[in-house]
Amino acid sequence: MWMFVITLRASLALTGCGSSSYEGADLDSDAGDDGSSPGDPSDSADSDAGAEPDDDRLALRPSQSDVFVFVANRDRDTVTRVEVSTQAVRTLRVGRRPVAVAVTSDYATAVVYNAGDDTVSVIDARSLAQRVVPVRDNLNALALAPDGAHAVLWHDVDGVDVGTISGAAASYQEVSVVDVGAATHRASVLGFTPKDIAFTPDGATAVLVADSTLAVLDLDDDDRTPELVRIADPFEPPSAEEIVLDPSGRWALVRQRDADAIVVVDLEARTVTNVPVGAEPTDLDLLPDGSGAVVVSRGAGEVAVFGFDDPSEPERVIRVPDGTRLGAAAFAGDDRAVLYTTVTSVARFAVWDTVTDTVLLQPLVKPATAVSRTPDGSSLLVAHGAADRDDGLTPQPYRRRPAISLVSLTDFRSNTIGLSEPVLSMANSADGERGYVVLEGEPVLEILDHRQLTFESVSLRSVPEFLGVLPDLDGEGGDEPAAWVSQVHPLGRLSFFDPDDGRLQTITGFELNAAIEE
Amino acid sequence: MRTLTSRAVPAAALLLTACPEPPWDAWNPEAVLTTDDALLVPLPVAGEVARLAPDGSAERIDLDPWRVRAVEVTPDGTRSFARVVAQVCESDPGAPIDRGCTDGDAVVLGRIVDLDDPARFWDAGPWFGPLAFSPDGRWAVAAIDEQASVFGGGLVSLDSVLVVDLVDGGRFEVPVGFRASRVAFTGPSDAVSGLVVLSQSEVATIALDVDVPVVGTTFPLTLDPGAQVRPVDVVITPDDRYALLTVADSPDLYVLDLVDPSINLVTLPGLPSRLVADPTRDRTLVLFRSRPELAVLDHDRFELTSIPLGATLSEASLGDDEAILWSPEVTLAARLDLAAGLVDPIALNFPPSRLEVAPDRSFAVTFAWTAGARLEVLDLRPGEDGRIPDESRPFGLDGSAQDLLFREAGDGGTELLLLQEGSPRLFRLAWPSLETSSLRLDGQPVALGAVGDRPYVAFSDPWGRVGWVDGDALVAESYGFAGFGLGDWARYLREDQLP
Repeated sequence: MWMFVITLRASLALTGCGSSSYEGADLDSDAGDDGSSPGDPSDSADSDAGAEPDDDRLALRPSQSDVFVFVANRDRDTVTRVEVSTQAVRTLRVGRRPVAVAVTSDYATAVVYNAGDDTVSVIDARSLAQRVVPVRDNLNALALAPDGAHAVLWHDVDGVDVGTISGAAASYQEVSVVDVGAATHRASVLGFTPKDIAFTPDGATAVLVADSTLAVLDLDDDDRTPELVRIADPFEPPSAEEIVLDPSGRWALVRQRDADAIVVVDLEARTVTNVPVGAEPTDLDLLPDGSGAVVVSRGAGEVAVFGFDDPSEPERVIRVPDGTRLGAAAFAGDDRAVLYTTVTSVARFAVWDTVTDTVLLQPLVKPATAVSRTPDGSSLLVAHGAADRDDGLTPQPYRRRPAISLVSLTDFRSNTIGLSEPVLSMANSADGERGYVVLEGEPVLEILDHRQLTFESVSLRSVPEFLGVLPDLDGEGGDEPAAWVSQVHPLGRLSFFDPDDGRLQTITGFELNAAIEE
Repeated sequence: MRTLTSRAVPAAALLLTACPEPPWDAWNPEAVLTTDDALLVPLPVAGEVARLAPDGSAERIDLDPWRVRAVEVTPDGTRSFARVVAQVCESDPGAPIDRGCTDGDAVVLGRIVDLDDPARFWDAGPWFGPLAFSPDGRWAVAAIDEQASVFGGGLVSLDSVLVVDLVDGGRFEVPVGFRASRVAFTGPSDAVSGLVVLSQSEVATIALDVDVPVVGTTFPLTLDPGAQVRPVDVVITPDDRYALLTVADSPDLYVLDLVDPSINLVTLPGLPSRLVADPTRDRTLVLFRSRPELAVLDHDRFELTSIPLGATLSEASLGDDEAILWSPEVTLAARLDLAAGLVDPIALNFPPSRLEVAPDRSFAVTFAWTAGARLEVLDLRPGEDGRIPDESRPFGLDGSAQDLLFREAGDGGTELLLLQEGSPRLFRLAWPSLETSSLRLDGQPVALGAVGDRPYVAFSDPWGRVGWVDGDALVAESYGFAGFGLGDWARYLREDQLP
């Protein structure tokens, strides 16, 4: 399933045409293929350690058209467009306080949510022609359907308060659906506060999940009200955390906090089944081929695989050796998944062969705070914080200092690199050749060679904020796409690192462009 | 030989009978301007302009009843203009006043007058300052002169520039932003098509290839309405696409895309002192106030390349293939090979107050005023190894260098002519022989220059005196031109000031 979800947080202001957010793994961002990413505090599954943040990524959709990067400048009420091929910059005024921008998968339209005046700007990516659509008040989450035809906005109670309440009264149970093509809006009342959203691949249906209820929205029918499906006792429901949709649209699977079962919903028959899984399920993901879903149960040390042919029970259950408490799975473009944890002190990860169901444990120097696989699956990039192993066996010189580990998933060679500051964000190129890391408060970009497991440092002009890799324009292994780093600067600063010639180009002051008068 | 024009004689004679000597500020020898065939001398007291020819003749350019404020000459020397004013009584604007109007009735009007044809003029408020001429000679642009002592009556728009079409005669006041300080022209040098105007906190473009020049694009330099960003220096890239500008007290260099309007800031490693266009190589050189390096900014990706200099060299003289770098702060100059990026240092004996490069760029001279009057000669001719001599040749001077002139010598070499403060001699330094000689002058020379290939010396003399040099002698003099119009000047004095 291909979808694009943005939970509105201050950190998410830049996206590369609907794809760079998949490339990046902002450690404090909720952006990801299912609304979570490493370090996502809202993804907590239990009061001790919490759920495992995902870092799944989906393949970039190829596009031969021009591609743009859009930056939302929330303090200036502007959005800046950077043309990838020429790095030409244009800035335009949008509504008040734009807090999120997303781009349709065909790169033709940018959708900007302006929290300050409760509007959505629908922008032609090429001409920058803008249409403004009023939406409901007090929203803080935006998701774009895979086909880009609709944007859905709602209030995520676990999201950050973006100060969107305009008056004295506020609802937390409304959803706004924007028809991107027609620039029209319709509002629906769900009767509950949604936690997560999923779309069918054709973009025709959106499913929002709350603790006790699912709502099915027919995005193509403006007149239909949401269809509600009860999934839990309305008086004492467990907290819903994640939802995945069968690509055919028939099945929805929901993971709930503190529930040792997965809720399986037949959206055609409107039936609900609780299917037991191992203790403490902390991650729920679609299989890369869309044939089923995977539930990782950290407490039980096992992985349950559900097939969408019959999800009434797991097809199979795979045990992690030694019952190692690994709580998340990361898939890539191969038949393996990496099992890991970023919220416990376990300094291990495992490689699960999804064909043979063998699981191989591997050590880490110290516990991980974020894990990212290269899109080709050949390498692993692990961020470590200052915290050491509980058993005191963290080797010098990595004790009490942040680090990153580059791990080959072919022969398991690794290189752990000590850092002066914790990792702020990391990203990998689509071909798996390179990785990029920026650190908190350090004006430097670390460039990682995933083949050689080495690194180089490039100085930035100022402190980084976000990091990503641009889409591959030719998709044929020619020029490597550049990495971008947005940085702290009162007038906006963005650097592009071109791996082909090793040059860093910086554009600064693009927020001034909004005040150009022609 | 002293000559006076037929008009000048009666004027001076008339004055001689009424006044024993004109005031010393009747003319300023250091304020004369050269055209391609004459010297123009503003006469601020009389409000007139004198035109002096190399044959010693002088004539008065009749501007009456207007009074000259400044004379300006196009860069190619072919055309000249005067900015003039006239005070009139508002109640009777057709008649110039002699002794002032009644209180509140006086207004000051301004014009730009073509000195080749004084009947041709453009109304220009007296608040407009010096003219900037386009390289094709068609346009003159003036900004508000905040230092102007005359502002006329009524309300003055302080955010306008005056654009004058010197060919077709149009004049346009175009609002561009507050405190416009500098302009740059875009388009081919023989057919200018646009104008970039730098003003406080913003930059505006004006299209000139239209019937009525209007502002095309306005670029902000800050988003803080309380901030005052003052542009200092500007370079237009050879393709006319970008304007590069520095601002006061900031290391940020603004790159303005004039075609697809957008702004980028390039952060320089330090505060810049100067931008120097290097159009041959399509790049800009950046000199710094206090960094021992030169930054080269390419016009493609606007990336900086640093060239170490060994000392802070904040000034530059650019040639086709090399640049001479220097600073008034250090005893070092350098020759930069622009193609190779190689720097040849040249040791000086004294920090120069001024550096001048000969027109053929085979040598340069520096003057030092801080440690006694010194002149140093820098040999800029590369040897077989491509290097230049790394030391200068010093000379002592009797007094501070006052003015200088390079001229082609009869033997094909170059001569440096030099005036020294307090010395009645015109010094000559032959290059490359470095032989020195001097010409004793009858009077105290103040300024030195040339009209075409004819040098002149302006003397300190209240009547106005300019001598014309041919070879080693003064062959003609223009004298008495400072008395032009002083009969009229007398009427502006109060009775107790009259002789």
